[in-house]
Amino acid sequence: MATQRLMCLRPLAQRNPIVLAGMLVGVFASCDYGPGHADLEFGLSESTMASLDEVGLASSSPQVSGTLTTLFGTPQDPHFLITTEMLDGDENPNLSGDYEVSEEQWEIIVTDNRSRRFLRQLDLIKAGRYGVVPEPLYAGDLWAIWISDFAPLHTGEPAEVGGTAVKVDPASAFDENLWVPGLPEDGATWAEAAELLFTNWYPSLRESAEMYRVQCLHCHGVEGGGDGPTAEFLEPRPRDYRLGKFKWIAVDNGKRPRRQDLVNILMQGSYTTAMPSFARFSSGQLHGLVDYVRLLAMRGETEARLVLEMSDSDSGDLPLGTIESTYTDVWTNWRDADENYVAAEVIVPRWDQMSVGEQMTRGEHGRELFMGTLANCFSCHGVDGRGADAPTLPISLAEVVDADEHEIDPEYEARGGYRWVEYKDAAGHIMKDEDGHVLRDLYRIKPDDWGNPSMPRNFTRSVFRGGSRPIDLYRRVKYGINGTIMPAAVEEISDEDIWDLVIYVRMLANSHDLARVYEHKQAALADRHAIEHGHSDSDDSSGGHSDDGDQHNDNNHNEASGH
Amino acid sequence: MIMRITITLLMVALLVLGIVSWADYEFWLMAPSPSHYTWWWPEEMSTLGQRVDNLFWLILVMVTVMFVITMGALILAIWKFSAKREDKAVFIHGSHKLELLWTAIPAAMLLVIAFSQMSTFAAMQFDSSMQDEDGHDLPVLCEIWGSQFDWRFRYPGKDGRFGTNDDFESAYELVMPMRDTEKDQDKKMVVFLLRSRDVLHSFFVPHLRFKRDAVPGMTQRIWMAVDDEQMAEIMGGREDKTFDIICAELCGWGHYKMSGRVRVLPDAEYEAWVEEMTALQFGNS
Ligand SMILES: [Cu+2]
Repeated sequence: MATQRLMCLRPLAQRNPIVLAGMLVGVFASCDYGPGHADLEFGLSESTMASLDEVGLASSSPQVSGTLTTLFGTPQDPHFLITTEMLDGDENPNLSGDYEVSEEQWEIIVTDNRSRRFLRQLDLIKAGRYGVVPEPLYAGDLWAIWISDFAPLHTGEPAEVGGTAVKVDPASAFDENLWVPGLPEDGATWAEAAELLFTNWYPSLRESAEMYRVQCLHCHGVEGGGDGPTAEFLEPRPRDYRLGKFKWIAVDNGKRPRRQDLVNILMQGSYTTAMPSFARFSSGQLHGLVDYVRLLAMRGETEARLVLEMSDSDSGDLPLGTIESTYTDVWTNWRDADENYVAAEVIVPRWDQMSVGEQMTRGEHGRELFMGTLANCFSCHGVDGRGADAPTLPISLAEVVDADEHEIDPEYEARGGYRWVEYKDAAGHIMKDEDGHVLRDLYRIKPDDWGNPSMPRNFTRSVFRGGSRPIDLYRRVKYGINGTIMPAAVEEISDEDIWDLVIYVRMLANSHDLARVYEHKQAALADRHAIEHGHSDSDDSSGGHSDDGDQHNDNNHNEASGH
Repeated sequence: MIMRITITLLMVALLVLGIVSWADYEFWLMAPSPSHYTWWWPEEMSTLGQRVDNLFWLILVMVTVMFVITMGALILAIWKFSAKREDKAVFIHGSHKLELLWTAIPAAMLLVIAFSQMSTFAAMQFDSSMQDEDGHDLPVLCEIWGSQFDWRFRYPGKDGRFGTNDDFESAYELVMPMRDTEKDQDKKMVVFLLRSRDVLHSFFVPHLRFKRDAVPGMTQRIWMAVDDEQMAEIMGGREDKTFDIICAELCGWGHYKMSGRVRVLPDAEYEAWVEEMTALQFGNS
């Protein structure tokens, strides 16, 4: 019986390898390995479509997207339209990275190109093995130059079709009709020019768009709307660039970020969010990404403003003048971002050189400000500094909604956007009405500009998403966090006060520091060890390590460590 | 018949794959690259690396021999008996001798592995290996934090204490002092605390033959050490003197992004780096 049953599987088993091979071939053939996925397109945002719909202009959406394509290009070929004003001002946003990066930054870019980015290519070029230089990732334009202009060096075929197939001598003078960045005025050899091509590389917008497609798009989306395919699985959600707002900037609330602000975030990541550090890429690549992110942000902003203009006008038309002035205005805001930067004058206090006594005094003053109505920190971050994690809801964080009337948004609820708060009597017991129902109110956490529930930082977790350096915290207090309920400090709060606040916040973070708890535990174990073994070298705190599990009980140890 | 052809094809494919990957390693057929890019382990340069490699080879040779023998027997059986498939199957009770044999041999192999790794394991994992002669814990250089999806390194700053205001963080790059073979006879190693913010990660530095899971809620003392001689021998002529850190535990959708690099510096340069990071920490860029 069993044999017979098994026998029926024979035909399938025999065909299986062939079926399997066929399937594999099918899978590999259907994968698209080519760069640039031709089908990527910039779309219009949901809010654009909604507002056009509202004023009965839904049919005009092609006009908006057409205008945007003229101004900003496509994902395959992104570029800024150059206006006469830009020409007059000798500015070219397509090459803004070229002139905006400082000399020190440029030096780092070149070093990175040489020692990391094009290490393999340059190794082979130096060894004279031009024919086997491999194609680098995300450098399509550079590679095109290598293939065409440098053909005489590696394939032996001159650039012009029909020439004689002779390889040039790498030590001979470089073709004077060709150009590579950084070429010395008195010329260079082919070998030198080949090296320069790679070491002096700065990404074009097209190359950065390709890198964005692979590295960033899956979260931040094609248009930078924070709506890529992986976005819905993330908490917090990826940034939507199209508002032109970036949270962690060193300039006044509402202003555009500096180039350095965006580079900082790419380098450091945003800790405990899904935005990792991208320091594994070269400096040039990160600057290129900033260029492209800026293009996406400007495109989104222009889109929103054009739609506003359109719905305000009677005809629903977009006059050329309006387009140009909007476009120029959006660009100018970004161009001037660096000029708004005043923090260079800020002197960061060196707490590491400050006495404990002074730190305590200043921290105490910071605590007073924290609890005071002027800075008002406690109203969102809670009296214990635990923000959204606080056991009692901070008073300014949410608003009461009518539980019967209000239509609860299930997605907002799933993301922690609603809280029930019970009434309690003086003894702390939950109050109930005559029917035994718990008396409670429904609170809705205030949303930020992107529609996310506000989650004020829990300082005791010692994690600061926008950076934990003193200057980072200073900027958060001074300028607020763009697009969120975290406001800029009022004028009455002096810089000195802000630093005191920062010191207090760092104290909150440090007081629960697990490493310190760990140290403390080690010391306690050493003491116990000493007592058990009957000799008292109790001022020695580092010995006697035990491996009886490393789970900490946060609270106990914090009490014991007596900050 | 088809079974025989399939087996033959599979064997040929395996052989070709083996030869091609060996040839590629030797002659860079598929990817021309400088000599230090390999498909195999990178050079080892930790003070413990050689012992780890020896264990790796011991186990690899043992399992390869066993693999060839058992798979050979399997293929032989399929080959030999597939021609007689019209025969009726015969039920046998089993063979005590054979069972004894295939229990005893693996057990012996496991014992060989167990005994040969003991001293290396102790040197690598035991707390006693991270203490000085008086039994005091060696100081911690920095905390290694795994979090979705990057590696971060928190240094205690110049005061050597965590949780004070001069702590600084380095994302992506782990910088550690080099062991001076002549001067640091007694300074055996650099000690770190390995921790995780969220889920399981695994801290893996192939060059140092170091791999350890980062477990949320657990603080593990780990150590690594690089000799200046090894450093000079292997990294000396290179433009890029860093080597990779990767996450070796699937930790979520962004696992592939989770990398870092190690930079090993002589004491003086390391001190300079700490100065630089402290300046950055109190800077205003
Ligand atoms: Cu991981």
